[in-house]
Amino acid sequence: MSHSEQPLQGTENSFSETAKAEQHSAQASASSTPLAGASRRAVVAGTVGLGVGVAATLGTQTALQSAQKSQPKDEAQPPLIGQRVPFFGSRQAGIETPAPTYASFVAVDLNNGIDKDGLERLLRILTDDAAHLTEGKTPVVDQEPELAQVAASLTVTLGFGERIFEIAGVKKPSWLQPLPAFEKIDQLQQQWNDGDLLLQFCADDRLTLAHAQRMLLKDVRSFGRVRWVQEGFRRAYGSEKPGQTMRNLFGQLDGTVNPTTEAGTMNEYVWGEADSLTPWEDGGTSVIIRRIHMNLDTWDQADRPAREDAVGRKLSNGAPLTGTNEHDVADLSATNELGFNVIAPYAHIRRASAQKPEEHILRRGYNYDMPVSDASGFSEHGQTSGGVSNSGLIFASYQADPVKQFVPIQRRLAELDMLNTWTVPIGSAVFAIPGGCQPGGFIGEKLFA
Amino acid sequence: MLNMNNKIIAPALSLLALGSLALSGCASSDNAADNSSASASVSVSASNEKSDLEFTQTWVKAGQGEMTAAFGDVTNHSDKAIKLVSAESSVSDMTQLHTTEIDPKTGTTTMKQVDSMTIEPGETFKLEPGGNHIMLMDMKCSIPAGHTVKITLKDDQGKSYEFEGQARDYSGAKEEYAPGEQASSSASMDSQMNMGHSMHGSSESASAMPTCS
Repeated sequence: MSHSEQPLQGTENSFSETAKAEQHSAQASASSTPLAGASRRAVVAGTVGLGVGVAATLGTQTALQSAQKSQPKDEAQPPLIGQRVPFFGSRQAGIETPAPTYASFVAVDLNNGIDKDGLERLLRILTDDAAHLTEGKTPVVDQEPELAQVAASLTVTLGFGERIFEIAGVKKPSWLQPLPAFEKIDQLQQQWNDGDLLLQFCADDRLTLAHAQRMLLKDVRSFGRVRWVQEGFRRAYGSEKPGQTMRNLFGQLDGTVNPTTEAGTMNEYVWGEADSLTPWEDGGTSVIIRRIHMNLDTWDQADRPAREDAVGRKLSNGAPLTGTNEHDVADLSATNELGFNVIAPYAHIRRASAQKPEEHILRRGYNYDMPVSDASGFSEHGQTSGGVSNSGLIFASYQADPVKQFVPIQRRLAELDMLNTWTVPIGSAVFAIPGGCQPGGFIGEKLFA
Repeated sequence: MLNMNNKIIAPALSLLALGSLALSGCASSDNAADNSSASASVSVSASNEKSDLEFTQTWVKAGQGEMTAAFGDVTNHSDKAIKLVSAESSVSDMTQLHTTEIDPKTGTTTMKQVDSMTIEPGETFKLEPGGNHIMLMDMKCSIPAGHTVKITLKDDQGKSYEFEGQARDYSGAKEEYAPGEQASSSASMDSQMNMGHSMHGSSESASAMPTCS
């Protein structure tokens, strides 16, 4: 997939082709351009931790480390080996952390007999292994310790389904339940829905991720069973400037209007510090994982103007059709010479725009592209199979309160959104994400306080 | 079956355990420095007796069998050699120091009880599957994964060193008795069931033995 077929009209620093060409130097030097570019969309990785890396994007982190060393970096040291995201802190990593290349979302169903003591034991060992692995260290029972040595920005994030609260005997957050049905669009398949416990793995190295997942699922084995696994990817580490909005398999920039750390909106909407929101526990938030089938065959039938019209943004750089640069605010009232709205009534960004102050979510999605075999022909509108591919988006949305923040947006989109022409939700799950922990503690410990 | 533990002289490693010995042998040399600084571990217990011995990466194989084993890295921070001579744990009626040797006649790797383990000043002594370990026999209760087990080691001066290990599901560390040794063939089957197959089942499921608390 060509990254940008047209010359960019804008010259916005972060997203110009010139800046893109410099991205590789971000790892090797501390020139000001990569630093400025990275900080533009910088995201704080956790709130407590060690060293300068904590409050920096991964790209900035590398650049800062380079800057601090007057001599050149060790030439023999590949960049991802030491790339670590702090595990411990008041909030779990893997949410505000810049999204690395690969993700695997694993939902687990716990065995019937698990009691509160068993749940605590499970969470303690998961925490222990996750803490080791994310630091590039070998967990105690790791039989492939060499695989643990490359951290590659690995994060492990735990989420709780309703049953965790039942087992713990603690009142669940009121919003923790399956989303209401969106009957006009949903074709949910049970194999991608719900779950008792979420394990979210993200890393820039697929082997690191596979090993971490294997280690933790061995921990889980005597407590439960794997319900579903959703694997996703973005552009590889080094292919783009850090902090750049990801592209989905439709070729769209996906996640332009996201909360950011610099603007304080991450704290407001993801961590529930906005006036109308309350985090379910200190450092806690929620994740909604919607599996969105994308029909690439029918998308192929839409030409570029139709594609841009459906969303209300330019494909080249994600700018609203009323603007020049990606982060220009869309002018929803603008009309063309014929009197029609420039951003159509059915355009995705119009329908998704917040109607209440709290209607903001953090999208941290991943593409999926499942292998197919014995595949041929075209997939028709509304179909979720057929054709020569099986592709889509793992839509991962983080917000303090799914019912207040996500559901109103999704209701409007289900009612009217031209993008629905090519997309079908086929899975849906909601998890409460507990706060982080300090060394010696464990994720979810507040349920046992 | 209950009495057989008294007859143990030379349990031998199964082929699987031999395989893991080779692998972990390679790994340990690479990782020694890294692991000893693994402060993140919640299973790492506090050292005691003026931190003469520090225990890190400690764990116990979870299970419902008659026996199991404890592992970890033991670092001697004192300026003199420490000679450990015994071990005990509240979950086991018989806790021994075990080591692994290669029989010069057959080339077979054999595990057996030792009288002592000596840790030199500054040395990190590894207790690992397929190598030296603390053997827990005549278990009083089953150890579920995530449970913390306390083990006390004593040196030849009568000083004791306590550490805690988190119980973990682990498919390796399958010990069985060497053919021709005093353990009978039925004991061999029993031990395989205990150390092997029982680990594969759910450690949360019902067991004849009470669960350690």
